[in-house]
Amino acid sequence: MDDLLRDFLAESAENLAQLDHDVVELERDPSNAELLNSIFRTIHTIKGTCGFLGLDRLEAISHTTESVLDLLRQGVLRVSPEVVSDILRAVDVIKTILGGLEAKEQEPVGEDSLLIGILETWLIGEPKPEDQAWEPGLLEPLPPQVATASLAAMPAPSATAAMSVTDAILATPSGQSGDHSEIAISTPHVATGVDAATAVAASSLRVSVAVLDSLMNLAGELVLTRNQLLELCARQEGSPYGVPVQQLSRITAELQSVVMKTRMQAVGSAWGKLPRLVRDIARETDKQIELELRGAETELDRQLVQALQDPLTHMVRNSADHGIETPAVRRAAGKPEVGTISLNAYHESGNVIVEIVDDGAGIDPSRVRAKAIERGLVRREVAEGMSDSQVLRYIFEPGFSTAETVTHLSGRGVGMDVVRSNIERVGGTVELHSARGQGCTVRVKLPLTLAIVSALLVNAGGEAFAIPQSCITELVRFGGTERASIADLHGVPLFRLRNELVPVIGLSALLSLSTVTGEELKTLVICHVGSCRFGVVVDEVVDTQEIVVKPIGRRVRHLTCYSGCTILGDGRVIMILDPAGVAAMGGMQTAELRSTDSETRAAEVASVPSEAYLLFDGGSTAPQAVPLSRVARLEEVPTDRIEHADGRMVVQYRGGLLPIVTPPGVTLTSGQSRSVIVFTEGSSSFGLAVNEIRDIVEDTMQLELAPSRPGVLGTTVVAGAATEVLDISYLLARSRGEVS
Amino acid sequence: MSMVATTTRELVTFRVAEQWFGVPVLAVQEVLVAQRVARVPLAPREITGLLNLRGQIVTAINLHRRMELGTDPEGAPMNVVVRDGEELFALVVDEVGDVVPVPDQAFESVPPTLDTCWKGACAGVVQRESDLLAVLDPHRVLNDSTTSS
Repeated sequence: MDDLLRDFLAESAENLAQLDHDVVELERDPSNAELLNSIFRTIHTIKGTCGFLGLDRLEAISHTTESVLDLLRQGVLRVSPEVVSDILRAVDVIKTILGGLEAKEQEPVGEDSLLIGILETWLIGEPKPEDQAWEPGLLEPLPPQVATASLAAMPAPSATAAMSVTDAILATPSGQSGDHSEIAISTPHVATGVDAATAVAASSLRVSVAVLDSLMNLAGELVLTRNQLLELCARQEGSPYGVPVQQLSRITAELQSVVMKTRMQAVGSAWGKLPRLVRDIARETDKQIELELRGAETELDRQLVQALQDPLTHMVRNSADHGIETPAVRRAAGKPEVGTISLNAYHESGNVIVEIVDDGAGIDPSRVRAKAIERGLVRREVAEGMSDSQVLRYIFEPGFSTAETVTHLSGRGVGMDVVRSNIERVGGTVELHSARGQGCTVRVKLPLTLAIVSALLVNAGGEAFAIPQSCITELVRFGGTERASIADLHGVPLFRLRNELVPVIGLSALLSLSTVTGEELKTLVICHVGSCRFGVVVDEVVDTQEIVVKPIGRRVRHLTCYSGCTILGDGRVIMILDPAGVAAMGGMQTAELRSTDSETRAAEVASVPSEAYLLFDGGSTAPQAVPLSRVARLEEVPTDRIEHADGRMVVQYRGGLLPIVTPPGVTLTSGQSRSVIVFTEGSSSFGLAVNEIRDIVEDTMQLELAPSRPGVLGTTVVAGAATEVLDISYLLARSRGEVS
Repeated sequence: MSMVATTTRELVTFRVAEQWFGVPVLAVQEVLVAQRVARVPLAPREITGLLNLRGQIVTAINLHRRMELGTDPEGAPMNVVVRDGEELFALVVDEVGDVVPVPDQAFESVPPTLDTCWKGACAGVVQRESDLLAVLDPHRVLNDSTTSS
């Protein structure tokens, strides 16, 4: 490709990314002269360059767009949603042409006369009947050409000046005088702005990604060499090389961290397209949506920025299309008419968090539940016993959509599962919280960089492999007598991990390596991919290490069980296993496992919410229960040690005061001794005084009757008796005196 | 030096089993002695594995298997490192010979009777005093293989 053309494309691509954002911003802030100037400059540069590259189609469209922008700049034309829409349309055409140029090195064939015609109506000054884009006060006394001429005759940075005039006109439609003092004030402001922009350009340099990547490789290599040197020096007591090698080591580490920094990119570059997207959806659906972007400067590896782009677009589109309600609905719900979607990026303990928060309608758990049952993802009885947050997890199942109408914007059900798998592929996680009527929050957590991952080094069949730590939940040693914990179902090994059955994949068998036979101890690496868990049998766990991920050659890239390879400190190359690929090769059709095999899936789901409950006689007519996991301790307390202070019951307990509450509707009667169930929530503890502890039972606790009084979650059947399940957070609030 | 209107090409020669091969010297980055190679389980059978060349990953191709000349090199093999596009490959051979200049007119086309595996990999044949030198097209050796999937 011609160097000139390549430079032009590179520069234009950069500018155009900013353009969408700027144009949308301009619509909101029409008086921002700096913004308008920057848009004008971008289009002007494109027009200027394509003139001498001989790109006629591009020149025609950019010329007309420039003319419209010029009128806006001069204040002859007022910034309105309609003119902004037309400009955005022109920007799209320009992008298409540039895309074609990049692919084929020549302008794609196309007809833009319609769009040019539309744009020209702005130039001729035919006010569109449906809008009031023209300033009547300005238009009537002066024909637009005259207005252009007179305003263009103003001194140099006329843009700001002209905009100030427009402001004045906007404020007082009859006042045409133009406030000259305001012009005088705003002119130096523009000047400093330009200076600052020039200074930024001079202190940064455009470097190709290939150079950065090779720099990264060399730095990695330097680290390996340094490691070998350090090893040599350590072997030799009092080596004269000791001090310089230490120095080298320090510099190497510093170099590596600086090189890592060069690959970092602001997360804002992944959301440059969003303002435009939200604006278009809002206009199309007649909604009012405000998009707030915070933390755009948060940096992460450029590969991750790329990986984040599509999921982000998808989630924001979901929020705008399904989440935010129409102004009428919002008004009826007592919310401001303008809905807000905010994106928030920040660093948190070595990870990057990106939150997408909207204040829309939220997701209706009952609809998700109904849909999950309808699609056979879960049995009705099980689904109805699930909490709302458990139910919401089905959003991430493939093909799951609760949208009643499929619009061209979204609702086709290809969605959150792709978001999740994309995020998980780069070692991230995604969580969703929704409050009915208040909106929805999606939290994406990503590692800072992909190039370096924390991995577990294992041996299997005489070969070493690395497994990314992010996919590993736990390690289980088994063998010898514990071999019994591997059950066999029709020749398929399953591991009993507590109360769950986990499929087992033998790594050496899977990779056709020689299997070491014998009764020695082996290790089961429990991995999770999406919602499925499985165990990988390895012969030996060697170490954990931060490894540098290197791509593998094209001749072996088709092997889905590897995600890359790495070079260890001693120069050895080892393969990095891709748990998703291993699971697929091991016969786990992840999608199938999740959705179609509804019987086993339902059984699996049913076994998950099973929990241990503490049964007791609280003094109520029916036995009562609380989840055992929430219980800190059980104590016996004589009734006379329960004191009354400040209207509350307390006991002196371990040098402090422990508030005591009774089950709802029960008052304390004197007796010899009381059982006190101690709960700890965060930093505060409280005791629940009951008559007698009865039993501990395992149950799924599907509540059959809704509660009739506060403090009770509901009623269920345990061991043949109707049992009340108590609400611990209510009891806690009561112990603090927050509720009576 | 006389000005003759012929050009010569230089070939790096190497031996696999009993056969001598040549590849254009410009395609060859370097020659390495036997390296520690990481096996890639499940890879095509002609892939010996991956090796580390100063931090770069090189895919090693077993030419014995690729050219159907047996299974493995005898003794310590040599690696002829060639670049193909962005990637590095090592051709694992038994012995590396001299770099020989071959005038253009000495190149003869691949005999049509050759089997498909060889026909796909060879770019030409050069007659030498004692034997025939099969000239390989590195790109085709690395990609067009009957044994890979």
